[in-house]
Amino acid sequence: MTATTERQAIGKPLPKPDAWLKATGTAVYAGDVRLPGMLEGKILRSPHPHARIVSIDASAAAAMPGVYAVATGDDVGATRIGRFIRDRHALARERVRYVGEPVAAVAAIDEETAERALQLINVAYDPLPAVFEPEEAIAPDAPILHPDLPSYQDSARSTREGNVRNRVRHDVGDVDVAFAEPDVVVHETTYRTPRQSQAFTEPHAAVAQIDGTGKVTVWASIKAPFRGRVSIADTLGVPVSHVRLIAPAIGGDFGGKGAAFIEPIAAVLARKARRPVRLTLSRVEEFSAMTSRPSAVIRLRMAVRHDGTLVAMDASMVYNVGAVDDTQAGTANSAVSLVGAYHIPNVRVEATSVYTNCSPAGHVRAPSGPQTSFATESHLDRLARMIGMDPLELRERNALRNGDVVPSGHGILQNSGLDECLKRARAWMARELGSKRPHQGIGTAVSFWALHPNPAAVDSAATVKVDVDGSVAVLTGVADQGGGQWSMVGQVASEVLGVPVEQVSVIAADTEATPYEQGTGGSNTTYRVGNVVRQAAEEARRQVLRLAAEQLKVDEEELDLRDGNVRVRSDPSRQLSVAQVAQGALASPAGAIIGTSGEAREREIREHGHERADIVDAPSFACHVAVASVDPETGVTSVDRYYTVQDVGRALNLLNCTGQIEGGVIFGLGYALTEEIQSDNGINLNANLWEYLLPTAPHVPELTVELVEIPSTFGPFGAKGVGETPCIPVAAAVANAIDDALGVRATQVPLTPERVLAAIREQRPELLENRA
Amino acid sequence: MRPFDYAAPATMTEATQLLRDVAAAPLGGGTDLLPLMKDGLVEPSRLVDLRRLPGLESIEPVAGGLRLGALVTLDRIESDDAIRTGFRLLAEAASAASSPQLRNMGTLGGNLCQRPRCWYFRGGYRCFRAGGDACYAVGGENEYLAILGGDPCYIVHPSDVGPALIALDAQIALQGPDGRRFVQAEDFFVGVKESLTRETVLEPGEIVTHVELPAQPSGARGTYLKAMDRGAWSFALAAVAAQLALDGGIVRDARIVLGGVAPTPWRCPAAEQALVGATLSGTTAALAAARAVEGAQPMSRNAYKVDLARGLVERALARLMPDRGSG
Repeated sequence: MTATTERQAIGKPLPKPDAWLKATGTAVYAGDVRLPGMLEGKILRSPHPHARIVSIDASAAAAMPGVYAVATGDDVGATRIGRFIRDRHALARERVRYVGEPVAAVAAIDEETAERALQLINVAYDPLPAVFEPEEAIAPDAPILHPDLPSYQDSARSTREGNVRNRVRHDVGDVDVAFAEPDVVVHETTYRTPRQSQAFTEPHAAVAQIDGTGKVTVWASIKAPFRGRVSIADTLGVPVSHVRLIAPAIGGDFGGKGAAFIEPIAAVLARKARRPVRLTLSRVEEFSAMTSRPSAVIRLRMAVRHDGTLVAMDASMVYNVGAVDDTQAGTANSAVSLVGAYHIPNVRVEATSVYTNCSPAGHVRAPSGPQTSFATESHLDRLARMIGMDPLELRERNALRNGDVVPSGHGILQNSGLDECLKRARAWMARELGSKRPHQGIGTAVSFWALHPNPAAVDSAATVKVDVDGSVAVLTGVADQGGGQWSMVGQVASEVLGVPVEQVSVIAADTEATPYEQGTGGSNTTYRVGNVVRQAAEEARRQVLRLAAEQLKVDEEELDLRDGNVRVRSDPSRQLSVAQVAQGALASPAGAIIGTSGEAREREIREHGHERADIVDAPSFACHVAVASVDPETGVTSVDRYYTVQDVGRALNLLNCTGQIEGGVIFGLGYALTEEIQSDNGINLNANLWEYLLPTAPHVPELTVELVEIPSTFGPFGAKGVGETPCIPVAAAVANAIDDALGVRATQVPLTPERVLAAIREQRPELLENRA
Repeated sequence: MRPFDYAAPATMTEATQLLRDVAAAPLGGGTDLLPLMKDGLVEPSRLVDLRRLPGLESIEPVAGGLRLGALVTLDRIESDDAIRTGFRLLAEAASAASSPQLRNMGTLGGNLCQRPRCWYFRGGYRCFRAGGDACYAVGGENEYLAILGGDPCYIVHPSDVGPALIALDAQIALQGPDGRRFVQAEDFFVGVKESLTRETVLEPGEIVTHVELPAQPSGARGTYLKAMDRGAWSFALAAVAAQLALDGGIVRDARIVLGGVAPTPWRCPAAEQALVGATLSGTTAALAAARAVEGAQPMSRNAYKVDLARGLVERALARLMPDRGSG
């Protein structure tokens, strides 16, 4: 490599700086925060799926020694909270809508006292009829969960009525004419997918403190601090600037820590108790009363010509979103996700989210991705089989190409890595997969994470400071939920400023100290935040070079900046360290070296015109191959090998990039094979880690991850999103492998022994009858 | 959790005295008892820790067989040479249980005495098993529950070791305040017709002290197979313990016991009769497997267990065929 192309930090397999802290148990999580006089909070939860709260008598609890505050719905104000639609209160007011809904909370001297006080709170309920399935909930005489739904604030302006939380339609071409074509093969199936928990390692925790001036400070496991503070402020009835939210280390999120649930309760308790309050959830509370991926029933009909041209898709999707769906977990993106990575000229999809008296729906890694991918990618395999075509070839023939308008209508596809992923997957299969063992099958599936950030609308800013010793501090609002966002920030600043990555510190996720940031998620954090950090660092770099040029009496263009030194290219003996430049800056008119993103960003938008909203600059595609063995006598599926190739644009950190993809595949394997929240009359039955079956080490097959790097035009160093794409198609790839192994199509996730056996009995009973 | 006393007696006499109190509970590895206490499902006022008692952690040869103390851990059963060579079935059953960490703590006696895993019972429902008057699984989520011997309570016994001990014709030694007695492993477990709130014959204050494995006939070989939703650290959807005595290809003796399908480990006499005297072949295995699940009465969501149990029996028998080199 030449000196000009060698990178300071980008592309290197650098360990995350916080990994050492986490491995040694010294990382500070929200629940580790200890303040003088701090109390412990506990939540009293509804035992009813649907009931009117007649009265709450908390006098005995409040009078108990060691109890400092009891809060109920009367303490949280009338303003509802929520991310998009505001469909909940921090503590229930007037009625409860799911088992586990917070009804009251206690702050006491210790957890045991708080627990005992909860038992002294007397709540009189008047039970109401409850509904648990969408079909019941949309029946004409069904009890309505949210009678005032039409008047709820909703920044997404969703279509809603009765128990229908949201309905989205996607209509292109003429589906009826296409299905009536004489030469098409038509296939229809109904697919079912489960509720999935985020199952992060760290349960929710929050510590709230209110000082004598009324200033609220909350340390919380929340990955969108600027969003979370709004719910706290609205619950307390104070301006957002009175709330400072700090997100320290977060032990996993997977979508479940993007909206405030317990933080407003902790703040209300702290205000009443006049002492700091810590609130932490148990694993049972996480599984029984917090959010999960909504279950879906997807009826899908598709038509394909004998030459493999997809001509039509007609589908209806119904999501059970429980009693709360403020994040719009079901329909936000699903109508178009169902179309997937393909060009289909005639499409009619209707997606409906329905409120029921089940526990709340929320975001789980790639909201609506795994559900829709399971249906479409399963369906494509069956269509390929029906027309006698190789399943990958069918996908290749219909794949979106650069210049196509993506199904979302959000713009024109650019920088697509799909063809390359398909080619690499095919090559791997040819190279690595020999003849199959009995009852072994190979399944493929494509992943497309359809969300894309508009390059100009980033909702984020950054500040970069260069200190007198040559070190660099980056101020950013971004939270790191374990995905390595902070290490990415450090690498980008290091690269741009030519300063070793060890000398960059990241000050982050503090709503008072750091610039605004919309929140981690959507696989767009690197793209958005990486860019503003780059822009702020470039601004600081310009200042460094200008000051150095003045001191060295050369043109800025003559200078080279790397490894913490500014050198004159033609005479490297003439140099200044960044520290010397920063010291010089103190006495200069500038006063100090501080770069901010805003000015650089405006300039870029002017120069490149990339405010254009009609392009998909950083599409994330992947192709997966599952090799699985199915035991026809027990229905047990074991995944023997798993391959994924993903276009990441540019791997800013190789370790982190492959780690995200490996983790995503394992997340998807859990969804494919074992994970399902099971409930009876609104009560989650397997609300623990021995019955909610996460994948464990023996179930992770040999994983092969290949990266394709087709850069985005506007992402930092060409980067695209990574984290969500790998978990999306796994269930379909495994189902397709089962079909390849046995000729049996299982249409319900997870693909448990009971479901595979049931599919065998229904579709190939001879496998059960004619053995031995 | 309710406060409790803790005692760690050094003698069996002292232990049985301490256990006389109806609200006392014996503590072995604690892998089931402590979670039950944390969930408020049992609330003993006293824990009697058995781990200081002499002799309960030993594995000793007796008259061609073995005598195992009740506190021998599942991990030791899995790795002990004498068990692996003479009673392979039991080592396989122990290794199929739970996870390595839990097998390091969990004991032989505790595994036999663990409470059912039905999520209605564990979830605090006032069901038959909890002293109430209903089974919520009948009209509910019953996919993991019993297909045999259920009515009116459809728990399945969660033990992996239990079916293995019955297949090996083991005896279980019990010690109570009124003395010592032996029961056949098969008679140790109590079906729903006998009691809706107990799973074993243990009387109040009585504990398991030892298990005796008798010498097995010549040509004996056995295996334990378990099907799970997740291939480790989970309870059986169905399991089978199969122990045969073979003479050439002829079955001289057979014991087939199912796990995970009934409120007790479920012995299958009809399957055994189909095998004894016959040549072990694919045909006899299929016949015996069909007999093993005769009389099954699945509920709304667990019919798959009939196919599953049948498939496991057939596979276990295939594995025991002489040319398969297992034993």
